[in-house]
Amino acid sequence: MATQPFSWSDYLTLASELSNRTEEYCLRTAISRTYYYIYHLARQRIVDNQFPIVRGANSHQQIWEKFENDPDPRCQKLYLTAKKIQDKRKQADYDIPYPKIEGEFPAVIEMAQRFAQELHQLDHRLPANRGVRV
Amino acid sequence: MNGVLDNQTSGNDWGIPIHAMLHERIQKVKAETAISHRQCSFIRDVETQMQQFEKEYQAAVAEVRKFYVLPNDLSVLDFLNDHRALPQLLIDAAPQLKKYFGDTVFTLRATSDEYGWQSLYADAMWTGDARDAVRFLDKFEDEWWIPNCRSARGALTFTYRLV
Repeated sequence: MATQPFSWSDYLTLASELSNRTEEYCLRTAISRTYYYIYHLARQRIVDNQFPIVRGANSHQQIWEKFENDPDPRCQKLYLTAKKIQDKRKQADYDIPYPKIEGEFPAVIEMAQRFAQELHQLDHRLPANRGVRV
Repeated sequence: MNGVLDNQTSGNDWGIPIHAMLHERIQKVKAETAISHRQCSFIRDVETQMQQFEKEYQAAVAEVRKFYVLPNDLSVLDFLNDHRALPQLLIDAAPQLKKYFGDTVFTLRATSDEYGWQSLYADAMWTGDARDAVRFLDKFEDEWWIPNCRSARGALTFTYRLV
């Protein structure tokens, strides 16, 4: 039973641990957890900036589009990084053959770490919800 | 239908004389000027223009095939057909990618997620360390792709696949 509030960074810690294993299911799970780590960081930023997230619709698309549509190039950079990790996640979760999966580490983990760092450094109002008065 | 109106008067002065034939033009046809010709030419030549656009599009797709490997099925061609800005972007991206990736083969892949979100991926078929591929993609994005990615409207992603 959890006694402390859950931190999404635990996903990255788990991913990092699993990436040291050799079993393919561990490596696939590591990629998947890495993506969900950045997804939840981005989702929190979108919620904090008062963007509505429509339930039942594609929440991933709704979140990443906010970064893609923001004119600030730092948001677009985050979007491009996210799309790369998301593609790896789809490959890990859905594709039966995943050639050279062991070669994805530590690059995928490092991309996620950089994503987190750049998001943290980004002005907290970005991506900007221009419909909200501040 | 033609009416005989020349003998009927209402007492009002309508200004413009009523024509004997109802279908006759009241306003004079203006002489065609260079500007009016240009305004009309959009509609007048629409079919010719469509043919020209299609020809240019097919030429662009042929150019895309020179640098990128397309799958045997029609998925990528269908995707490009629905996103007409992408062929030219892919062509423009090619020399930039070559600058960082050298002779690395790039393939195109059209995907759709469970919600129907469609994307096109340009994959560098990478045989080396994944971190190098990420580094090259970073440079490509920072120097060229981010300033030029607007017209792709999020539909195109450059990434790598380990082979």
